[in-house]
Amino acid sequence: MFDCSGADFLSAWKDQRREVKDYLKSTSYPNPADYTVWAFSDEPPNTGKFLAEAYKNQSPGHLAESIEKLAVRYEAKKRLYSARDSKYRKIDNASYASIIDYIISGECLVQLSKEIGSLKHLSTLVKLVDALCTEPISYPLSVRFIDLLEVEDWLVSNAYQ
Amino acid sequence: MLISDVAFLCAPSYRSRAYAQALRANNLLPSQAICIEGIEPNWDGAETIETNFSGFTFKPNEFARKTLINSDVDIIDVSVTDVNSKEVIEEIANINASIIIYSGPTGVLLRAPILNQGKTFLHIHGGVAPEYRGSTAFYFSILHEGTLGATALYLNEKIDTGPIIKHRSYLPELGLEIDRVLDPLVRADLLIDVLHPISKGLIPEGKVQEAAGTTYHVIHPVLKNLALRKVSELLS
Repeated sequence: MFDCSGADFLSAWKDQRREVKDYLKSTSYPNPADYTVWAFSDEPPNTGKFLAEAYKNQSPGHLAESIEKLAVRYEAKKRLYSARDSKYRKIDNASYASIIDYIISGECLVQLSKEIGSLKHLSTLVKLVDALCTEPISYPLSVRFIDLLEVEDWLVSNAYQ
Repeated sequence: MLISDVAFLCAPSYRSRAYAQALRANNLLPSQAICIEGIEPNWDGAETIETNFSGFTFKPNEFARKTLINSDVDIIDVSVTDVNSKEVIEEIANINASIIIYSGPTGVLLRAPILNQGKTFLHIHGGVAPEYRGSTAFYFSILHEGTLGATALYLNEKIDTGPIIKHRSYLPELGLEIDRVLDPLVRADLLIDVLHPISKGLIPEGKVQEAAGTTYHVIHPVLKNLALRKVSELLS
């Protein structure tokens, strides 16, 4: 059984997150080699578009409703897909979601964790950020990811208090 | 005394062990038990654990099947791990009891074919429903409220949404680890509570859940760590 009960567990986790943040900060500037990645980063595909709309236009209660199925699918499959049906099931030939989808999903989860103090969404957020930490993320998405890491740290610290 | 109208469906787990030992200690043993296959978890702690729950000394390393055999319960072994398999459904259909205490594999929902055998499945969920449905809900309630809970309900096809018989909140106990000891013991405690009237033929109807509630997913280890810290602080 995975043991996470130790007194040092939380500080070790925070150290790991800090290392990711430091690395991202050291590389957070446009790199010509990454041009195709960041140049179109504000054009999220299907899943991201839907979430971005939900994030902008909905109250926390409605946002929670909107992303419930996505959160359930993510918890079950541990991944997002770029295109979905109305029940958030992967549609035929859908590719894995891109970094922007994950970041927007994270921003929605942050909103819910902050606005309604939802630990359920915080737990999903930390899992999603775990996944993002394993991916190379380029400017300018790295800036949004750093923000996500900062607020995740704040939310986890507040969950404890 | 064996309760003729009650059977026990169990998979290898600490929860099944706690149930079997609590049933024996309280003289509320079922007439039959259907034991499905699986790997028994390996206990590495103290041989016995004294608790305030249900009046028994818990032996975490005593398999449920052994407890039941030693108590003269009629054992039906089924050589499958899938609780929804046709082999299990056949055995469910053949037993005389109408109420089945459920302690199947974690994270598996019973599907229509097994639920439609004319039996009632009594489940003790590890959280106070409808506020805390789903997996590891007790860790979330510890973080929110400093307590963990249990709900006795009748199973349906969805997660922890069946009619509720009773629920109760518990305070953590010093020195009892939660996953393998405390959660199984609080569930066993509530099971004993609801079984007393059932053993006398008084079958509770259960109250339909009207509130929307919240269904939780397995808690992230970081939040689990926070919950365990909170328990330590509450008890220090």
